Amino acid sequence: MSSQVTEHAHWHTSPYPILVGFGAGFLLPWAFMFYFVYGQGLLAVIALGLGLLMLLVGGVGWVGETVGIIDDEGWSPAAMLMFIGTEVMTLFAILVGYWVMRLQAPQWPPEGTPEISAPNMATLLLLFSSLSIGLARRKQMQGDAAGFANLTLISIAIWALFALMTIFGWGQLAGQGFAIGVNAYATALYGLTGIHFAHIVFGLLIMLLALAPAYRGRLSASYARSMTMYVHFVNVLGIWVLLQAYYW
Amino acid sequence: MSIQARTGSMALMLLSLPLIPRPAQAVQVVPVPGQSRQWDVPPHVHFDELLHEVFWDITIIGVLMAVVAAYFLFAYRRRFPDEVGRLQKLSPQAALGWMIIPVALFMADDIYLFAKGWELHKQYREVPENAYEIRVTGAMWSWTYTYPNEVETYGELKVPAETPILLRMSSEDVVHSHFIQQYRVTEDLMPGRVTYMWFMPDKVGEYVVTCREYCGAGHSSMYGKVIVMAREEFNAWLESEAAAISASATVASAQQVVSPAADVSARDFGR
Amino acid sequence: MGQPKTWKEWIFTLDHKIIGIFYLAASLVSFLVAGTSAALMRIELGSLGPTLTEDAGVYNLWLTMHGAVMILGFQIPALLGFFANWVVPIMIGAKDMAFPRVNALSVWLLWSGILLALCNLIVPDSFNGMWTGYPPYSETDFAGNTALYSLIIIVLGISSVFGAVNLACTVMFMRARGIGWYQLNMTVWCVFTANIMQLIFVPVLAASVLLLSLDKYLGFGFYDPGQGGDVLLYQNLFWFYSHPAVYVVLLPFLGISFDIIATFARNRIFNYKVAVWATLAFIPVSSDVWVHHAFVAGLPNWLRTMQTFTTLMISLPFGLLMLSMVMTLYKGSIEYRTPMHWIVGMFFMLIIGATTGIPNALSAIDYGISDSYVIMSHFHYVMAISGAMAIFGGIYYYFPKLTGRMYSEAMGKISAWLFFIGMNVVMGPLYFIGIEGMPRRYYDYQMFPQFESMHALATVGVVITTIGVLIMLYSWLHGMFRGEKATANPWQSQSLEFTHTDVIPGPGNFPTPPVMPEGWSPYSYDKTVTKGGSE
Ligand code: HEA
Ligand code: HEA
Ligand code: CUA
Ligand SMILES: [Cu+2]
Repeated sequence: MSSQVTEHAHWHTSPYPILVGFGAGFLLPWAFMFYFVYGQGLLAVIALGLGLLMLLVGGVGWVGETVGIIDDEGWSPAAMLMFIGTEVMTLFAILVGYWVMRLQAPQWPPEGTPEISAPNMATLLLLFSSLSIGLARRKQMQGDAAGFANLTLISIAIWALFALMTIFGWGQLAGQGFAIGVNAYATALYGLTGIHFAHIVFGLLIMLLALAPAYRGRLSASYARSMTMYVHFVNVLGIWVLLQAYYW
Repeated sequence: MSIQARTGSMALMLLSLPLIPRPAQAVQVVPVPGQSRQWDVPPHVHFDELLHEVFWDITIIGVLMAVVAAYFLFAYRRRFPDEVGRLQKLSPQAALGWMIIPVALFMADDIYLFAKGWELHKQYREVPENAYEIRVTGAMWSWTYTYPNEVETYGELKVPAETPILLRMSSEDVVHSHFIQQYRVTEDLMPGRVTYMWFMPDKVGEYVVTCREYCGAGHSSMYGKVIVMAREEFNAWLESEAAAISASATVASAQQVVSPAADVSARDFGR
Repeated sequence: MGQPKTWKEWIFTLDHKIIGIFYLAASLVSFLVAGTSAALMRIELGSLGPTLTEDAGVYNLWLTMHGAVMILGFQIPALLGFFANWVVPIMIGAKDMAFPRVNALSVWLLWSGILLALCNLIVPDSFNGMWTGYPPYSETDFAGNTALYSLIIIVLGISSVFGAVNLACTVMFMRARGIGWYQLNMTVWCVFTANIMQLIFVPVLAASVLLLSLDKYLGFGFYDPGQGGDVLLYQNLFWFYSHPAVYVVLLPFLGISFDIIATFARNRIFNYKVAVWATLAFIPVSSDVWVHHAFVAGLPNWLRTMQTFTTLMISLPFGLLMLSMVMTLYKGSIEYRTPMHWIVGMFFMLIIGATTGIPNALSAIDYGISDSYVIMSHFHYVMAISGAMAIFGGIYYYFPKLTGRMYSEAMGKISAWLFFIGMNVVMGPLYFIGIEGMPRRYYDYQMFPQFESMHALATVGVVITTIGVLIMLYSWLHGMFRGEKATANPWQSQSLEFTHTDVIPGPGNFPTPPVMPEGWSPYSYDKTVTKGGSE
């Protein structure tokens, strides 16, 4: 082999990963530190805004470049499965923290815990989002881009509602004087629901990114499938959190 | 919540058992009198013997590997440019043999080392019945020692010779670690838990205590002394200290000082 | 075809080789930063009392930077970044990684993490809680900016997880036709296994440090006994990752070493299949030994005993791998080029480092040496020196493929032996004063004045090491611009990255997707005549 080798081949490039990388990897951490460590609200907002902007522009560009144009050969679901595996490990670690606190406590729930109602309705909503995203996936398999987009939008709406209910619930708890530092149960409750909330936000981002190409008629089997897997996973997680934090 | 969900949660909890302090402490409590064995030599002497043995063990393994490697590196230098290696593919039986035999050998050595180590481990962790207990509190960056009669010293651990000393330790702020080079013993101190160590001061003298868990800017200046005194001297010192603290508090008395019969296990070990 | 020409093709690249080079750059920058702090530390310790600084906090900052950056910035990116990215896809005949964009994202997340780490030198409240970051210290104000520590690890963790998923998919799905699982290079197996370990264990680390910041800044109480938390929870979670992490470092560098040895001895890997399974065995075996880092932390006695045993069991797969490595020399035809020199040095350091793990593994012995220089010396031998020597050897090995030119053999060999001798002069004396009680993480050692001469000797060692490192860097720079032109297969290796690519592989790596004949192996030197790159 020699120089005729790769004449026609060229270097593939994309400006989007680097945007996402520094936006999420550098600016968002600084936003957190400006706010919580240095008490610099303005700088925090700037870093957060810039970071999110880079993340969004990067994300939109990324899916715009790939969805429906180039596709891996169906490897994404395997990758998503592995990713979910690591997520399970993350949650496992945090759950261990919860169990340790709980089993060590002389009484549970510890003193200072008000009457707390479990978010049954909100969790029920999650089941509906599993249904709608499942239907979306079916549409995608039928090649119905618009149907896929609509059903994804419905799932987004359900999740957004769930997110709002979560925030509202936190507000209510705080109103009852049950803030984060009150006792071990507060740590556990806010910790577990907070982690789930973070997953909801991330999932919303993933679903939102699928919309633009879909409304333009572009579909990606592997993206849709991985997205569906992720949504189901977060829903199962929600139920798990409900059982662990409220009913055990 | 359903039975199944409950059993599920319980199963998962079991997995985290090692992390749970309650059972953890249950296992840690010092054995009741009569259960601990008598040892001919104090742990730190035993330690040196075992360390010596382990060094021999790993030196032999290491030198063996190094010599074989050096020989191969020398003997199989390339002799002419087109020479290639002549290592043959192993037959399945040979491959298996080259796994099973080394593994068996390694395993044998491991089990031997483990048994030796376990013996010494037990000696370190089983406190003799007649141990004299002193409480240790670590704080950034000093040691406080509290004697049974509430006498306190700072940075100087005075102990009677030839009496097993049990230290029951806790920390006020961050993790520290109480290390006495002479007695080859280290154990961390932390808030929220009580840990212990024991040692046998066999000779009168002064030895170094240092902190061995990173605890900030003063970590390397968090050191002190173990002062091993003859028993009578120790008793005299302790009594005079106690008397000095306050005339009103009549805590100090000779029985509370060193008496081999002191019932260590009766004291509150858990907290 | 060579390297990309325009800056856009560099910065916005999706190509695994260019991304690999960015990983390498990150790794070398980290090595210099952390190495410089090592040199500063050694000078500080070279004499009793304050030497360079009066402030123990400054020393603690150097040490924190040194430990964290060496492991997370130098070795893991070199091994799971550079070698995994640059080498593995070509070794398996793939045109790129499975997800090129995710790959680019991983490297930029890594760079973000490294920049954040460098920020720790600038911020007014630098984090000084060591690379282990134990609470409650790390949750106090003394420790500085704990958020920075948590976030660096989380960002690097996400980068690693994406990288690991990507590499696992690449190895699973993108092997060229004719390359089965038992025809993979040891490097591929080792990197693959290490990445699976990353997938399993990294999230636990990320979660454990996340909780640190939640505790400190948002008022949670996971590690605060006052709020019903537990200090030891952190240590258990941390070491549940960080013990396996040492094998995440170990395996890839052993993999590279296997390949370099096979190439220069022109031999097949001894007992290849057993070596492969020994590699995989590290996953289960290493998952249950973490307590050996907390033998003196007040955990229950039965746990210490149990994990002494499981820790000793690591010697089984480890011993099998070392056996395969030695025996790969047997009946070989060994040529001594620079990479081989580095690997030979690595091997002897590995013997010392690995065997000195055994005393630590016995809980009873650990009571006397925990957190002393014995431990410090152990892991420098097994990880720092061995790892660095394998990495540098690997860089020399692929130097012709990266730059299209050859480095100077003389300089390469001299640097290898200076590094080897220098680091032995550093770590040898320190082992012995460790046995006599020298504790780790000490800015000064007033209570042990008798150790001063050994400390001074160790400081001389770092001077030798630095000269070695500088010669190595010079040889690379010199080779890059002035070196002789290289051929496609300068070592007459049988491995795909040499036999089937151009001098510098271009986009897509191979002109046509390689198809390997029946029975092909990257190690079959005795069967086939070596084919050069241009036949
Ligand atoms: C690449 C990195 C690496 C590797 C491979 C190892 C390998 C081993 N390490 Fe090490 N270790 C570290 C990196 C590494 N370590 C680091 C970074 C720390 C400190 C972290 C910190 O606190 O900052 C540490 C700390 C550390 C401790 C904690 C001590 C303490 O803090 O008190 C212990 C204790 O058990 C230990 C043990 C071992 C053992 C048993 C092995 C075994 O894997 C070695 C097994 C290999 C052999 C034994 C040789 C080959 C085998 C044979 C030839 C078979 C025959 C041999 C026998 C039967 C014995 N190590
Ligand atoms: C992979 C890991 C790795 C590597 C390669 C090294 C490499 C070195 N390490 Fe380190 N070390 C650790 C990982 C590593 N270390 C860890 C994890 C700790 C524990 C941290 C903790 O306790 O938390 C530690 C701790 C540690 C200590 C303990 C300090 C203490 O406990 O108080 C010491 C002391 O001697 C030391 C020394 C060295 C030296 C001399 C080198 C040498 O090999 C370094 C050689 C490199 C150089 C000397 C750089 C040379 C180049 C230049 C100087 C050029 C500069 C030029 C430009 C910038 C352009 N290390
Ligand atoms: Cu106290 Cu270190
Ligand atoms: Cu370990």
